[in-house]
Amino acid sequence: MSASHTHDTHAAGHDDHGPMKGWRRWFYATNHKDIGSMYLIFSLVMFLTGGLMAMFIRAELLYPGTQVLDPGTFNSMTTMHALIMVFGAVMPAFTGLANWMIPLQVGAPDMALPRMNNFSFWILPFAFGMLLLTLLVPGGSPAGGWTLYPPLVLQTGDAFPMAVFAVHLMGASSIMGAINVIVTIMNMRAPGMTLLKMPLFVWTWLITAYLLIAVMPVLAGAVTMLLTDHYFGTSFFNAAGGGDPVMFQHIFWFFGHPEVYIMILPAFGVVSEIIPTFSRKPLFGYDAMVYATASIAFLSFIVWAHHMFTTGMPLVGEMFFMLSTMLIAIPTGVKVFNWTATMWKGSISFETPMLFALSFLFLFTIGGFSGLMLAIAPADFQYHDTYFVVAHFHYVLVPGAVFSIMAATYYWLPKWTGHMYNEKMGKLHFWLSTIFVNVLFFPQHFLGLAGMPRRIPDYSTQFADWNFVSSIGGFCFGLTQLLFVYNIISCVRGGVKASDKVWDDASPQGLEWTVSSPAPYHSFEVPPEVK
Amino acid sequence: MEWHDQRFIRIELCAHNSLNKKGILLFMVTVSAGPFVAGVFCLFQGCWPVLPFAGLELLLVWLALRASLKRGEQRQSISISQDFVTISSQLSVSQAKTRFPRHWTRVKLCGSRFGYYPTRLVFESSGRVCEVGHFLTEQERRALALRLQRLVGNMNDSPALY
Repeated sequence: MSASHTHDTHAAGHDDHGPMKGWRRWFYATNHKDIGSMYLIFSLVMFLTGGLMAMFIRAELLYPGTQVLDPGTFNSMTTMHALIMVFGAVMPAFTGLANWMIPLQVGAPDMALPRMNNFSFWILPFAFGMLLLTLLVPGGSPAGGWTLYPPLVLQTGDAFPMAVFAVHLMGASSIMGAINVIVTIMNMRAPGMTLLKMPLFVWTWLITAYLLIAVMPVLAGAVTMLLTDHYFGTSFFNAAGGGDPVMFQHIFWFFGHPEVYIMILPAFGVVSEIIPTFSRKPLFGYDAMVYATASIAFLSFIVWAHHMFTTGMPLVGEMFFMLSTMLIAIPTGVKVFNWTATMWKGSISFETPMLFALSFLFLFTIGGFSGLMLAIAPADFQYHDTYFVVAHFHYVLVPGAVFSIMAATYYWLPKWTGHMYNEKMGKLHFWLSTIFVNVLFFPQHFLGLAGMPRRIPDYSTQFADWNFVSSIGGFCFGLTQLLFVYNIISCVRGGVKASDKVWDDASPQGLEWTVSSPAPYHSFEVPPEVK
Repeated sequence: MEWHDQRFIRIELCAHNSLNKKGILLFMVTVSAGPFVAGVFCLFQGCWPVLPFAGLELLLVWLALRASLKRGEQRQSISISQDFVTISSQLSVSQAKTRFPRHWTRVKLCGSRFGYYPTRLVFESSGRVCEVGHFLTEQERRALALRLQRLVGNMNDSPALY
């Protein structure tokens, strides 16, 4: 037989078929785009739920004295707000972006393990349903903070085992999501797509998936030990039984600090996609960006105790954790430098995704600098458990992680829906968000430096003015997000047709722009050849 | 992959796979290092429950990777000539060759009553059945089914090959 002609067949493009109809399409979904959409919608719902809790918190803090919540409920709100935002909003949003974009960016037809993908998503509504139900059980929902420190958290009522089970489910979902991402990237790249040709978003997610796999068992072990201490008479963290409550803090932060990077590394990837596109230049220092991401991931494992300087530790320990924390500034600085260098002499345009990416660049750097201040052990003795810490991590997570998710949504939404979003409304959303996020969180630095402790429903009158400003910023920021929701819904329902490249005059790079807009239900059935 | 010849069309089926054996080893070592070190560290601190969770998780990683790799190792070749459809299978443990008369063969995509089970793509002729492409993704299998239905036709039907 002569091989006169070769091409891939099982993937011949004319034999397209659509998705299942009705609820079955979503419940039985194995298509990466469907599952990605579900993750993104779920995270938006959780963002609004957690945001509503934040509104209650800020309403309570609008004036000194108790206004709308009793102290127990206030503590429940802070705990639930954190758990929902971290595990329900930010992480699923990045998993949704990964589901949508990784197969498109590596030239794979789908995620490697589509059924596990379905399972890992559908665990989430049950996990968060259970977590939210704790608001209704005797004793109220967990109120000891998202860090779940014993012995305080062991005072939780009937909600305690529910919360632990919910955390287990969230962890299982994250692990399965991470496994899927790793196997897809390692085993399903298109011919020619070598590791150092992968888009930065894929790289950052690969490293994030490694982090997830490394730390999630630690969280699972930690909450299981809390459970056995509470119900089965063990004394892992019970000093009276020979255990050590501070040990929980070590274990929690061994998970918790990499968790911070789990929420920010994909954001770095998003920004590394957007800035080159709208600067009309290739990313400056691609290899350095990859190595910097890997360095940050490595360092995230050896800095955990900077969260607990005040528990008392040997001076050598304090020095080690202080210096290793400061080291993180180096690879992070490489990244900030490279993004800035990418824009240098570029032909920059300011569409909504680029505006959010630029805002990320400035405001995340503020969060990074306040992190450096907190890394200094003697200074941390002053800042610890004050609003300065609250301001720091909110600068990292809101204009950092959340703004990058918004940037990614505006950047890829036309590719997902086939329609352009309303650019004017996008820009309005950007400006209001950027102004009010600073009104909301910047005064919290002053409150913290003045000594206002976190997690209190009432405060001394000396803190009244900045709390009032912060709350007004909070309400306005919250309302502004309705513009985002409206813009997304309008874009899904219709609008100006998006071209295949979407950002035509910016010539975006990457395989995702080679498929039509909206991306076909089945893409890359013929693996693309990457030169 | 498809070969066209004057006499027959051959379709080679294989799943997407970009990891070689060295890559698998490197991957498993690197992915295991973090959870293992963390688990052992916690074990020495008396917090042994972390280690079993790490073990369970790594087992899941390995099973997921193995499922993906096994799918990638499997090969099937379908040759369609004017008279016959020949299916050569090199699956994980066995090799097989099946031949059907094209005129009396039909291609069937069997869906499950429950949407969440994968479909099965089979050749049927004179009471004999041969499944193909079970290692493909659902959408690949559906696309292949349409392609084969055009090439093989229905029972008592031999459409032109070209």
